[in-house]
Amino acid sequence: MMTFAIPRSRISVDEVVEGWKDLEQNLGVRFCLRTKVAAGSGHDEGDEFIERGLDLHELSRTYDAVVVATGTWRSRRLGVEGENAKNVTTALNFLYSRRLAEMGLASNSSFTSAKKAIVIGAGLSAVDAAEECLSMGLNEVYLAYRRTIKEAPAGVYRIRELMARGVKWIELVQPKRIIVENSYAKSVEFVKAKLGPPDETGRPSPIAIPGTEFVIETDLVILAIGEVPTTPVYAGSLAKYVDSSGKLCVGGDYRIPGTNIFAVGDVVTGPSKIGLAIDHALKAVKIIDSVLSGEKLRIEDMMRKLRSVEKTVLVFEPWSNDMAKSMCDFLNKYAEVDAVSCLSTSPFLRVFNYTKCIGCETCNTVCNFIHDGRSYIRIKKTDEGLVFPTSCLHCANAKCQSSCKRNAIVRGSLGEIIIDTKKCDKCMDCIYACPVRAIRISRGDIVNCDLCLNLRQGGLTPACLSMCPSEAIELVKSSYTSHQTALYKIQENSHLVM
Amino acid sequence: MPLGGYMGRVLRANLTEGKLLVEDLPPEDVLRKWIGGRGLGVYYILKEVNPRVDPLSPGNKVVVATGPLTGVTGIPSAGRWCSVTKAPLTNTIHDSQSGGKFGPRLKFAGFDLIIVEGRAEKPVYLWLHDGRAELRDAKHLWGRDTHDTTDTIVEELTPEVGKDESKNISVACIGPAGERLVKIACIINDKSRAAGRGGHGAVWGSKNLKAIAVYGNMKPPVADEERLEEVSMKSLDVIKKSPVTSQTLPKYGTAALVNVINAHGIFPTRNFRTGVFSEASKISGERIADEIMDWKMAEEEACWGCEIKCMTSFHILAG
Repeated sequence: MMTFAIPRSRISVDEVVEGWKDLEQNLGVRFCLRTKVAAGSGHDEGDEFIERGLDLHELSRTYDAVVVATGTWRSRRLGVEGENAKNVTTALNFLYSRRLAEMGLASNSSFTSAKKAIVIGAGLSAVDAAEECLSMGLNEVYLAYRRTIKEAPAGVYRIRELMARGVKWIELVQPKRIIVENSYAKSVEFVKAKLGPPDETGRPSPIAIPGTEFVIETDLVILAIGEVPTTPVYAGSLAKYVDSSGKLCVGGDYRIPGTNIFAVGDVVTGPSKIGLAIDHALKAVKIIDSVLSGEKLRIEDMMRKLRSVEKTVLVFEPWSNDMAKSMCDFLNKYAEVDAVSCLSTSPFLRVFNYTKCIGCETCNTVCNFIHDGRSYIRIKKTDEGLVFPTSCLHCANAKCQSSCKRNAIVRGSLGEIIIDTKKCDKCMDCIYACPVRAIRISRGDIVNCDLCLNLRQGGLTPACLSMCPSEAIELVKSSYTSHQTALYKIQENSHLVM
Repeated sequence: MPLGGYMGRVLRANLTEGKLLVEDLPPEDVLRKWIGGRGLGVYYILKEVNPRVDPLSPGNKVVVATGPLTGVTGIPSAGRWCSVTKAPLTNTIHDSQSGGKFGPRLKFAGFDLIIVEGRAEKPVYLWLHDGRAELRDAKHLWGRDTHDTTDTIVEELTPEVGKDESKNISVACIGPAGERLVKIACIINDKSRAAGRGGHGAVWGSKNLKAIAVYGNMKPPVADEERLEEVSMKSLDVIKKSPVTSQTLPKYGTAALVNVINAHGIFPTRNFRTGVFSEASKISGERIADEIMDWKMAEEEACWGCEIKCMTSFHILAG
């Protein structure tokens, strides 16, 4: 999904490839591509690439455990007339055709000749599809939704962003039929709708107003009305574990009862975001591991297994005042952070590039995992549906440090803020002093991001930096950190860890 | 499953028999009705002590109590504890409050409350650490003042907790006044904090209880840390925006009130024969801050978890 369906502008494919290579080379993971594992037979989007098929039951007999993480690839259909025309496509199909064409893996599809497009839906795939249309240089892109902008699953902020880039937003409309000529869609007939009483999802249900039909001409129709889990179970004894919405039902140990087949991510939870799917998977990892090994997995033990290395390479971006200013302005606008007071603490050691951030919450998820259930990152959600992380910027003129009366806040080897919990008397002066409210309370201690000291001691980069799919979290080299080179030596302050 | 904030354990120390028993906290409905150290202390005294009992007889009990917020990181100024007993000065159920680090450390040692009953044959002190409790001989401490007692006990216990950790032992004790059953005797904890009202020190003295020492690394559980963060942010905001709690008290300590109260004519002078003290400005917080204050020590010795830090501290260099 990350390689094929999400626009390049949001997630760089290099990041994904890097992670892939890391798994293959350093951890010995073997990838079997173009292979479909299923119980029973059925068809899904993307099946045209399959070269061989395997039976899920057989696989579960050969291996100690099978983990299903197939996600949500199956697109919902509208169920209206004309849906099967050649230039009517689902958002996923549209996006991965474009990716494949870009990579030269498939001939450039018929979509390129389009000039006008209608995207139906207002979720994240709809936004991605509309964005892709813009980047293709289409003259007119419509985004049609049956409720209002307030109910749009992608959030008001993202929709407004697209509108500012020229997408035409039409709300309270339902597609009635697609008018087809010579097996190509020519236009879409919509009917206006009004909001009625809430449906089972709690959102107001749209009710069509008869006699308000109108037609929009188009040469490309993209259906983005949601995806359903792609459970690799079509028939057989496991079919009873697939519920009516297509999700795979697992027990508290993430296992399909009575089997050695586990399932994680969207295929269990239903469509969500990368971060939430990873969150589900990381929580599952601990349990699955203990089920298989019979021991409880503890993060501290895992960290101890990391080889202790003296030197590691961290990548620093050059410091820029504009970047710091735009970050502080953003925080001021959406997170009630005082921009002047925030900027006065600069230069920073770590920055969040909110223009790149896609709000996937992966940073929070991995931070949560590394710090055993308590993330040092706060996810802010605005009323407009904008989602972004905030955390310690490790500023040079740290107000937390100057507010501490007991000298419990010290600097690490990179100049990062580290709280010595032994010295701390929990007076919370630092919590109050920090303009971005980075310092948190966790299990009776005052804690703050330590840029994953334990990971760095094991020669790895901080988790949020290495896991951010859009490369929006960066370390910055400024005059304040410039005496530190990218190669650095870890100090002996092991008592500060954990 | 104890509620958030409580350690869920009560220590009952029967000094007559020299027995220490660990009990569960009362059920949730009692905890919700009798909130905090004072509430629970009064609950136990009402339930267990005969109202006609002589406060200084073995039949009286004394409850050393903390509340659900004591020692919880994120609650401003949650460093207090209280003693509840039938007080010799008032002959009523009485509570006496104190700050410092003793209260939180009692919880870190794994106990919410200590109920002391009976009378020990010889002087004893209680040592509570990491969920365990011991009764120890205090004969050698009898007759010594509170500073001396505290230092000696900490020194004695240092080998058990390690040298680095010895500064995290808190001692509450009585001095010669409590031993001699003086009806205004205090309990002194962390050397400079007093549970001063009602003569609770005399009740300890009547029981031959010289001191209680606490140390531990346990933490009171929190039911919902996210909500706690929100609440603590709100209360911090109130504290930091008030000039009294954000400026006056941290700078001058509680002695900041000396001049104010004196101006109102209610400054207790010569056993309250008068409400005005002509030399008040010489003992005021302003003078202390300007002339003799030891800032570093005051900041380090402030009560646990307090962002007001009204502690004032000074060394007497001469005289």
